[in-house]
Amino acid sequence: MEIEIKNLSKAYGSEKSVLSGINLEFCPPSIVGLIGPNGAGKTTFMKILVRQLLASTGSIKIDGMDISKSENYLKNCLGYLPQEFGLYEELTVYQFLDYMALLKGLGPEKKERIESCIEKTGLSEKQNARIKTLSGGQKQRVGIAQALLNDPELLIVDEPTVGLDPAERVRFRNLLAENANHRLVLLSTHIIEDVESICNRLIVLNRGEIFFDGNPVELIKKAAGHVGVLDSDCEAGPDIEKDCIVTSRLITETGAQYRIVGDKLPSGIKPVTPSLEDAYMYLITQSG
Amino acid sequence: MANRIPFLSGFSFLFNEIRLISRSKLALMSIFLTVLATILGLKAIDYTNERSLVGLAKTSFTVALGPAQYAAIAGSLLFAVLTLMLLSKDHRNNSTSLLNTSCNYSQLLVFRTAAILFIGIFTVVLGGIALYAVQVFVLEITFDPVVSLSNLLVITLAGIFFTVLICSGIYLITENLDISFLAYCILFFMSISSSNYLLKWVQTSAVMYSDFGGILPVFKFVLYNRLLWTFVSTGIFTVGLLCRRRYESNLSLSLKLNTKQLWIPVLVLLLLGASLFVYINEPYINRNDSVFKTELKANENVNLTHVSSNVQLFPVNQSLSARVLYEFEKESGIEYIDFITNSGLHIKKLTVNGVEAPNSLKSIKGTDRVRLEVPAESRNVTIDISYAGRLKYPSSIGFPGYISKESIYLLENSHWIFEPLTGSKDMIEIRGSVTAPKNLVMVVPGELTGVLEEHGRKTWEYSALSNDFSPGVFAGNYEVKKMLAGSTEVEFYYSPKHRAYIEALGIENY
Repeated sequence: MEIEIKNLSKAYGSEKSVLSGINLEFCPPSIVGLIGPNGAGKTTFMKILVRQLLASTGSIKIDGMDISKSENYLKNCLGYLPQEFGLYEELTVYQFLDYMALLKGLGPEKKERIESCIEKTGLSEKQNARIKTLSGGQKQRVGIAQALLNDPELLIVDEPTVGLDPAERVRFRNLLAENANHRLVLLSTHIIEDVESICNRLIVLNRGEIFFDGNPVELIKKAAGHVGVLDSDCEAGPDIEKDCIVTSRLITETGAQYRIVGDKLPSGIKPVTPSLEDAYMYLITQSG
Repeated sequence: MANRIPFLSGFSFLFNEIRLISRSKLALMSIFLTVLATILGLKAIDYTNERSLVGLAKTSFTVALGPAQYAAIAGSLLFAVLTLMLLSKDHRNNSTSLLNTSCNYSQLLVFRTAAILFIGIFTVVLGGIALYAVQVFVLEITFDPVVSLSNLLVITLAGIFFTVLICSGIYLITENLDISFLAYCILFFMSISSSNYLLKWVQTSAVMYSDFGGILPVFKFVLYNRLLWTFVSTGIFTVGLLCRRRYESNLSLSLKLNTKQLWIPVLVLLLLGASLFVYINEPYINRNDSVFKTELKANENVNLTHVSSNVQLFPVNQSLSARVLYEFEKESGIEYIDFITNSGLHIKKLTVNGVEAPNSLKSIKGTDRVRLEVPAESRNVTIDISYAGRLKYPSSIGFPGYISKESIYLLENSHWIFEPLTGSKDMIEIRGSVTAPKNLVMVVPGELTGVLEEHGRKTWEYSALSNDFSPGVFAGNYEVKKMLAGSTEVEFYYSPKHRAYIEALGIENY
């Protein structure tokens, strides 16, 4: 499956564009992380991609076909987990997946697929439990199980780890990674660790525009020399330039250690190897 | 490209939705309460025809209407709530996007609605079974499946079907649970309270359905109401499909997008057009019925003295033709005489004092009355009117008459013989004849003076002296039970269909 996006933009009425000038190409296998601050346009982008929203301008082609004329084709090869979703709480996990499997048009292989998805998502013990009795993380796993039911070539998950505790988050990330073989996975998030651990391609979106599209290592390289630490005994903190930001403040025995990201680091700051989060912060400060 | 579901796939979709709904507690509760209402309706004596008689709950004929009416009212309300809750479920649950990206959501909503209709059928069948069990084994009343099931089908099931389609349509139009329920309630109470039988879409006009239901003209009346609401409810549902919000867009953009599927707007126009056509061209009711317009008083300065009528009844066409001769005495100076007519009957010929006077007749606007000019100076006036057609019924009162193959029922307020709005100083001499197929037994006003038979038809001649003019005739394949009430010999006529009721009632004991 190949996706080609050209000059995509979205505006609501006369308001400022939520997305503008998006040009992207995707092909499997790949796990693409889409990151950006809140309100960057990630969810809007995802919704347009799954035909939940209409773009104002531009085109999206899937395997060379215009998405507006091939919705069925898209639905046949799509697994989607929206940012906010509800399940039929009165049903058991198995009943819900059975219901969704039929909606997705699964034939004789339905039972096998349901059982496989239940197993993959670690829900075997809960398959006969009513959904209303599940924890948030377990419901999220039911969500991904339904997305995997039709063995989709394209898996789109929007902010899947929001609200999960660290253990559930790790488990969920691993689940995605394990099921990414031969697929194109688009993962939208604003949690850097999620992307860092599983994505081989990173797209940074801010104020509706793409600021970075590449390998996470490339983004880290871009930030080299722009991240440093400062040990200070002053409680008030360092007096830094306006174009620098403090990304962390760690209390030490002698005072505090500040991690600083900026285009030009102030004197006295010791440069360090940037993390992906540093690189992302650097990019965001650069994009204004 | 629209998502087209092949037949088998569509069946799976429907099955999937039925299975989903059957797991809903609300659905189970709706089924249970509707069945309960069906059983409770067995004791609903107020819905039987002959409520002034005693010992009513005796046969299927006299008990069949109550269960159907109770179940229609309860089922309609319950299925309205069920439909609205099921259709709004995804919106309330925030699961629309999951479903929308998995299948064609418009089709899903259509199949969900169809699944609720299926649950409606199941409920009515279950209600029929429960009705049979309670009627036969608990109340020990014979069960006539045709009577009971036709009541459940035409009243209860139709009421539930219309409810489901209307609620689905309104919800798709408004996408708001509260507004949808409010709109439904308005339609529901309109149905309950309206005197216009066409607007009684939930339970229909009660008197039509027990033993009347088996009579073709009455049944046509019933079916016409159901035909209208089939168009209206399907029309509202199709408008809902046209308004369904797409791509999180507003109503106007969604309309624009949905209109691209040309069959939807075409179907909307056809169904709404058909609804309007059926409503406007309603053939049975006299919309200008003036039975309650008391400002049109009888003219006491004119007295009816003699009436002579010859009426031919044609059950095959449900029509009649009549020639009626009226004789009046009036004061000098009176220039007109008013008649109450029936708007389904059309005047063919009119003479006043032996002279043809086609231009002397004027309709009184907004009423079913006509005003006939008469010579002011004449003290005696003879009016000869010939008319023919199919009777129309008053809009505001019951069901005063019909002509069918199996029976004839013509009350005076059907105005099958035009009624002059005059006084009567002395007794009126009434003579007349009624001609109908010979298989019928005719009960005429006053005294039967002769019966003639010719070409397979019989003419019953009668005469009467009365201080008012209110003729009525009844005919049917009657059975006659003769009995003595004191020293008076009573002939009790009844339809063979009511034999079980009459025997159970022991009419001679009253």
